[in-house]
Amino acid sequence: MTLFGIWELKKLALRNLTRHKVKTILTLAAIMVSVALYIVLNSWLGGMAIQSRRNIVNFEIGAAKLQTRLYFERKDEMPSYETFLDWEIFHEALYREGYVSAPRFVFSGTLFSQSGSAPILFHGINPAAEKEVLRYAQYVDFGRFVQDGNFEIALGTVAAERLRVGIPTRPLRLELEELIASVARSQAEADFIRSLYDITPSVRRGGDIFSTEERIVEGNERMILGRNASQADLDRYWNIIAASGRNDVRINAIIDIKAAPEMIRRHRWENELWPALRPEDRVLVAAAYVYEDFMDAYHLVEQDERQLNLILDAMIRAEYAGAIRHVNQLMDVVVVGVINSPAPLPNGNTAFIPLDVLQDRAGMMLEGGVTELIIRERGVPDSRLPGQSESSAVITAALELGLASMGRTLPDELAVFVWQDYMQDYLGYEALQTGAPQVVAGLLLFLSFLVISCTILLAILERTKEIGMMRALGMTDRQMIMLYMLEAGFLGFIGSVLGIILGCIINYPLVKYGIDFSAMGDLMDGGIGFRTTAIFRSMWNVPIIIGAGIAATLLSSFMAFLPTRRAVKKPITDSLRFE
Amino acid sequence: MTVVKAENVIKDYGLNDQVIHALRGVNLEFQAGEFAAIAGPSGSGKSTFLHLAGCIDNLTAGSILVGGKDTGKMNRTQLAILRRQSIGFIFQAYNLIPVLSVEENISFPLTLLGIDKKEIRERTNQVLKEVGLDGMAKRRPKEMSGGQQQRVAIARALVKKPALILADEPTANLDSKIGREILELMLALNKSAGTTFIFSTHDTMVMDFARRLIRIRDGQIESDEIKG
Repeated sequence: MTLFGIWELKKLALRNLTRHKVKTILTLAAIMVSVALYIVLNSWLGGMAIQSRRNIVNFEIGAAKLQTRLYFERKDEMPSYETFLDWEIFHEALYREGYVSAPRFVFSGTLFSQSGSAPILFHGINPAAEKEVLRYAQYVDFGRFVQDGNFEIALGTVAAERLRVGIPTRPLRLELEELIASVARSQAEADFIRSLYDITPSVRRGGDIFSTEERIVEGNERMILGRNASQADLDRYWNIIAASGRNDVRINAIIDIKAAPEMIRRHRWENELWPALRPEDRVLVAAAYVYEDFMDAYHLVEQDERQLNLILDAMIRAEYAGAIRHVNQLMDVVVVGVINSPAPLPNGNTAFIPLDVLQDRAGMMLEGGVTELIIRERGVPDSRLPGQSESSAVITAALELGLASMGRTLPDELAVFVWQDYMQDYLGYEALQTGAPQVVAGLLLFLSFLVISCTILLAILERTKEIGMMRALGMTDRQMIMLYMLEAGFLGFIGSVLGIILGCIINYPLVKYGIDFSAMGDLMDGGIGFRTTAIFRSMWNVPIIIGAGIAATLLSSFMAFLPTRRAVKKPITDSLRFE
Repeated sequence: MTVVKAENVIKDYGLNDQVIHALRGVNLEFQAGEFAAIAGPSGSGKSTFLHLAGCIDNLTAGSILVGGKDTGKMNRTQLAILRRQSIGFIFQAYNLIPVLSVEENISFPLTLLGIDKKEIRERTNQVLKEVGLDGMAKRRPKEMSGGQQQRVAIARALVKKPALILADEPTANLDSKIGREILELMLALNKSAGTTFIFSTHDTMVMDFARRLIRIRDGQIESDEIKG
């Protein structure tokens, strides 16, 4: 019998599993549960990771952004002064080469409503172009998405609830009555609004904690916006609220713009600016300013716009604060829609406002500048994550080609950065979140292999005499080891098959239906967590499922190696005498 | 033809820092077809000699030739193959595999030899008849008496038609009636197949059956008598 002829002993290996049925069943159960848990955890976390990545690409960033290199370096500070002009040219160049893009001016500020205020991340957007790249505009729960030329914004649900604008979905009864009192112009409107809500009574136990007496807490009842309310009802409700002025809000933002200072005090020149400038920039700056004794300050004398831009870049590089002018801006707008998308970021403390209003009519001195152009390959399905065709190098090459066809070139200060460049925090979180449970599941899997090892060890101890007899009959050491590895491999294989079946049974509803986490929406405010809201779905990761089965079988088999090798080192006569 | 030839065989054991001299220069030779018993009290070295002749223990000095091959010059794998092809064992405690049926236990050595299934089946059926277990092929060892189990062990040793069968106190666990039946069976097989049988025993009945009786004491041959 050859080494591989050991397969002929499969019957013996399988029969050995029947010697102690309870022990075999317990060992199989340990493998089954571990394999199932490993498969479910992997599929679940894999599903969330894929869904999150899709949401980042489809609802937050697109595949890539065109930005100035300086903006990217300081992206955490959102330097609104780092803008670029003529986005339409880049948009057209990209379109010619098969990419869609959308301009944005991103800034932070505070939004005030009649009821409160909230810090908001504002996105000045071109609605038509934005819809080409991102999908959140399709998820306007109430009202509509913003339109060009109007002083209006769309808010995330979190911000809307915080500012108490739009239609409240789960107010307390007293809060709803206050709303009705402030927005309803007639009893009919008041009754109409009340009719849209279902009441969930607020019940409190009376007396001490042992009391069974229950009482209704007046006014504290939770009102739930009826699921059956028609779109026409909701539109009417929205219009009643809008007509009351409750949706009118005020933006307060400080917009930073770059401007070469007209005058620089000598002590700032000497202590802050001059030491921080690069030697080659000092010549440039020194030529643009003249010292005046009577003011004890340097005055700007350079008029040439190109030179002034170079001076500004030098000052920005030197991080000279005097080159940034902070302009406080106030703007009154109306909330026209509330966004509730499958991704948390657009639903959070986020607002979308037409870019043309910011550029032309709001007097924000943006002068046509945008902070970024978000990019996606034209016509790709939303389910597809960016691949090679949406890498930085390929998009840059396409952009350069498109610009060349228009007789233009890509300015040095602009570069294409892919979505991963902005999502390092998230990707780190994802690796941690998907890695840690896998380590735990892996440990559990390893523990089940230790159980197998113990099972085989006990079997070998119990069958010492039998091993001696088999060796006396002519089995070689290798054949003995292979026989027990085969036995452990069968254990692993059967346990894995059962584990795969159990894992698939558990995973099936998680893939088909998922778990609804929408109640946790507030907690997932587009931070660094998984970028999905509402329903989390698992996925089918076939390589992982098959791999787990193969790995469990091979590892189980391997677990028999050491104990068996030890057993065959024992002299045959000692084995035969063993009691 | 010489089946086993032992020349000046010495076997020492270490036990609690003491050296036990189990065999002290034993010289023995067994020819094909012999039906021999090695008798002696406990600790005399009879089982040790059997283990050395069966290549399941190592010599301290001297040499043992099995089928003309010097076992002292063979590695573990070569010894395993020699055992597989040429030597059959019958143990005092039968040592059957409890999860296999009678026929599977018997065919186990043939499986190790890589013989094809059809021949395995034929030889197993034949040997089952020879040992009087016809009709019990599907039973498990635990469903059989001690005598029947020992018959299975004999069948397992015989089935591969070895040149040598070593039986270590084969009747020790059996009552005298069954013991006699087993010995009669082995003698009949010895006569019909010409297989060499060597027993270790201190059972007088086995000594009576043996055609050659070797007495051993303190690791040395005391007498070597060939009966008429």
